[in-house]
Amino acid sequence: MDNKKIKAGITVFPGSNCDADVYRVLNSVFGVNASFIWHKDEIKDLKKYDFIVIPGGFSYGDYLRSGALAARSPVMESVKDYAAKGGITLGICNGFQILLEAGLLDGVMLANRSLKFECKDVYLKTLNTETPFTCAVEKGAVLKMPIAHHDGNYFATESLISGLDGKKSIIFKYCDEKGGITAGSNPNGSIRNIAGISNSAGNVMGLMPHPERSSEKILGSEDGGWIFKSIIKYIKEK
Amino acid sequence: MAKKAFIKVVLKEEVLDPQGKAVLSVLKSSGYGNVKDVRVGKYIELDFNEDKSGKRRPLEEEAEEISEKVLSNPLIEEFSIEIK
Amino acid sequence: MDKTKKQAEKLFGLSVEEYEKISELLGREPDSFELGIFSAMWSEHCSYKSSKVYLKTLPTEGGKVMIGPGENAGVVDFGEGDVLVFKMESHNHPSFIEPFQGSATGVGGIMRDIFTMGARPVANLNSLRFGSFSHPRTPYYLSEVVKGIGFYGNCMGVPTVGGEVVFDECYNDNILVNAFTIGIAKKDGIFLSSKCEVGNIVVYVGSATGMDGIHGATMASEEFDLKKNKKRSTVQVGDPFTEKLLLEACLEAMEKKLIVSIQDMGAAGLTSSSFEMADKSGKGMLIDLDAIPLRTAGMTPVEMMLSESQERMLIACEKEKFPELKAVFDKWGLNCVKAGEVIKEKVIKFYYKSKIYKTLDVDVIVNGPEYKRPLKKPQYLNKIKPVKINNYKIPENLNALAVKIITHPNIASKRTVFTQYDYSIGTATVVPPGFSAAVLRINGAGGGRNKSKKGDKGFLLNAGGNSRYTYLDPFTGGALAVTECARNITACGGYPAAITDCLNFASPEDPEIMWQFAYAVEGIKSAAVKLNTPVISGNVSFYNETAKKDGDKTYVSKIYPTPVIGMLGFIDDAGSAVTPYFKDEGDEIYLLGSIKGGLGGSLYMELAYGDFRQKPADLDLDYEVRLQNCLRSLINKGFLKSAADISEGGIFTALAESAITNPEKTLGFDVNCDIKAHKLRIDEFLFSEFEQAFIITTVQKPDGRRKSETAAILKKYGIKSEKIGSVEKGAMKINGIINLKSGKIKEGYYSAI
Repeated sequence: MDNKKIKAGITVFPGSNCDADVYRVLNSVFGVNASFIWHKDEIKDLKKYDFIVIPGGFSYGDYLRSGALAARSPVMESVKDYAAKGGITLGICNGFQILLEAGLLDGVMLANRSLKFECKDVYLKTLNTETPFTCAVEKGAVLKMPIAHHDGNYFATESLISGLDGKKSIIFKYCDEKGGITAGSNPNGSIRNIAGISNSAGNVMGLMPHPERSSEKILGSEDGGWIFKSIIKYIKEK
Repeated sequence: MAKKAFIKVVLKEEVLDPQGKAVLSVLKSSGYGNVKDVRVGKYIELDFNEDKSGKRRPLEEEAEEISEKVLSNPLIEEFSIEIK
Repeated sequence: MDKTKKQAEKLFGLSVEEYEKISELLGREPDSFELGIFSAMWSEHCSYKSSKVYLKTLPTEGGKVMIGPGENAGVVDFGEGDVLVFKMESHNHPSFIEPFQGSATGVGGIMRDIFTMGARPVANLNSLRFGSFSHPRTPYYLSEVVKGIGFYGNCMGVPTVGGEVVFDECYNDNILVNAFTIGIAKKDGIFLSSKCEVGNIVVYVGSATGMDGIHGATMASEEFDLKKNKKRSTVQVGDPFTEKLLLEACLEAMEKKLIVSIQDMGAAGLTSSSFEMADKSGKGMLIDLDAIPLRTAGMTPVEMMLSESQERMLIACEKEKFPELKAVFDKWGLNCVKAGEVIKEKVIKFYYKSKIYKTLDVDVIVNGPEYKRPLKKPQYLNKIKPVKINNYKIPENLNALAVKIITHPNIASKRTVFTQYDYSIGTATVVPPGFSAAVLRINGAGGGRNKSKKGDKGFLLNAGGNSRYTYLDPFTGGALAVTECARNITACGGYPAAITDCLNFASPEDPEIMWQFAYAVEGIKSAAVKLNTPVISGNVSFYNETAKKDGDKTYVSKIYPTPVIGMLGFIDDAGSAVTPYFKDEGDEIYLLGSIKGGLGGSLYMELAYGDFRQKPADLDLDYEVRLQNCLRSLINKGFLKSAADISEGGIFTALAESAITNPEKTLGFDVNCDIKAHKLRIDEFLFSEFEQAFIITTVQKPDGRRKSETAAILKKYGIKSEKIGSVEKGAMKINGIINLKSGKIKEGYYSAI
């Protein structure tokens, strides 16, 4: 199957600002047929898309709470429906926050421990390579990707965490260069160094770091590309 | 007796409130057409030590000073204090 | 002086002479509406009345310049149908009053200048000056300004890729916030404010008008007085979310060719946008004040005209296209109202309450005064002499001093600042902040576009200036600001292309300040001409001074003259840009260029002897051009593994930074330089600043061909290169005198701020 036949939908809310980056990387780097979905568009059924990306940014200015207002906009109803039917849905950064606010993933995002916006490269340990988002990643691989957020301090109650753990829904943890999950490598105070989780069915993932900013060598890392390669592989093999 | 001050800080009426504006637009598009305007502010609780000496200045005065100097920016915000 | 004139001066910042001139032009006394308009348009900020005579002397054409100063921003040809649009602007006074909102709206304002031209902003830089690092208010200003910049830029999705942060007590009472934005557009997709046609309708788009920043334009041109509370109602609140929508809506409307002419409402809001658009187009306008969307009910006409509410634009559009234009702004949830019409007669007619309220002549308002203010060589300059080094005993512990320098707030890493900015959004940042110049590549959404034969076409950005050197020698300081930016760009392998300038000074009414200004501009001009980097945009900020009270004494706290340059450079292959840090153990270290050892103005003189007030070394601009061309040739040959210029903190700092800023590892160096051959004392060698030289590294034992090619390049440009040592593991050693552990220095360097 040609990558061009894979259709990706990228949601655009007022204030989304990583939409163009995701679009460019999916189309030009991975040759996928990606297009935008405007938040007001009355697309009741998203099933023509092989996967959906909710990109980063400051949807609705991130006013009130990050992602809170976007989570209540019409297109999210369609996304919920799509996800419920098993559609592959990836939320990056603000997209992760929107998925949490929309109830598609468990937990909440608090302000970074530093109370500051943090932009830097981090390392991620892949804990589960049997998901649509990581099936091309080598087991236990350490991936280098940038973060850029103010509210990336993931929090959930102990019982939720053990639930996530039990279902292997904790996909990525912040780690050091060698894969050690240490306090020093946690950039934002996330509980258990959590950087990315999925829903229990495994078809919806939220990820704080930006794979689209680390899919080309010239930008210092191609590791983020593994997320997209995984999705493509999964769709092809399905 | 220990006391608490409950302080609300809001943007002055003539100052633009981007948050309120964004919330209003989502409320409208979510069908809450009855809402006319939204202003978003901050709510702060101060818990004071007991005044054992009895010589301390009135709590109202201290809370007022804290609100003015630290909790709000008088350029753009105003505050109200309730002491219980 | 009668009462009205006094009031005009107090309320509107107009001088008595200006008031009289206005009365003469109108043939009567102005009313308050007119006074408001005049005060805004004749303010230093809008009219450049004190600086114009000097700014005219700057080179503004040649090279790749397409549009020079005069529009919202300058435009440079980037080849293959693309252009780059950039400008830097100050937002000093608002940032001093309310650092978060002031810096945020500064960033918002400069981005509007760029997308008004039809360009999508692709990078921001900023130059920030705060009071002494130990001043009690400095942490507050630093943290709020940085938060404000991040808040606006991050939300807009425009990466902030560089800039500078400087601490000096001369900014204790006047901080500086200079913001730079660059955008990219299609050559045939540039929009100007000068294209209005008779019959076009005038459209107001964006946020509603509130009481924000009333008199902001006049405020920016007035000294703060002791009772600054008086001016406190003028804070503008920024809403980057709305600006992001405004950006997308404007670019969409431009793409659909629905806009004839456009100008953003910046300083003096509706006043400057309407008068400037009319003037540049040689037309007039009807403006219907009843149509202006208001946030605060009951605003008076003069308040509407002077409001500096953010995130607004004025557009001229063909009548029949208005419905389509409105549809675009509706989609983005923004106001879009008909607010008037373009007319032939060069006047602006204001309607208010459905009647003609005022008619003002465009030429009268726009052609403000132009002053050639008196100049006087500042007295203090007579005391500024070259350093007589023999009068100073070498400090016993140079190692301790070296540590003090590398961990000084002005030298140490600004990582805690720039990590608060999103610098990686846009997937274009190839070399992030923290090194020489930021390197970005072009990546059109089409993919594959702008791939040159060599790789991804790119551009480089840098901003900076040194106010101490400008204070000690205004001409050299002005020139140095340009050459230093160029050095940073050349050290990456780039070609300097064009500049924008932000000139921050105290009151122009003081002849000594005006003298500093005149000479600093002369310095900028000389360097810009030599380096062939025309000045395509910029701004002047005067009155950066504050009346202070110390006991019974009152005095004026003035900033040092602070010209800041923002520079654009080009590179054929962004991926091949050279970084300043050392790469591998064993690499050979060379000193490329000449060193003079002038310590005047250096941080070393301040820290070792408590006085930096001595004359800096002169700058040889002809040599500078040869040196930079030579370095670029060596880089383009692929011979160099790293290249770093020598700036604040001298050769020691250049070497130390090269050793510890490699993101992958910590390195050191062993340097032995025959300083006697250079006739230098060890401290002159280590710490003299802004030497016309670079620290470069090559592979160990370059082969014969490479050696001979290098020799030929050096000979061609008449530049010397001297091997001074090699890259080592974890220690910094110089001439057996400096001996420090890299790990420790690194820790201090990254944790000082």
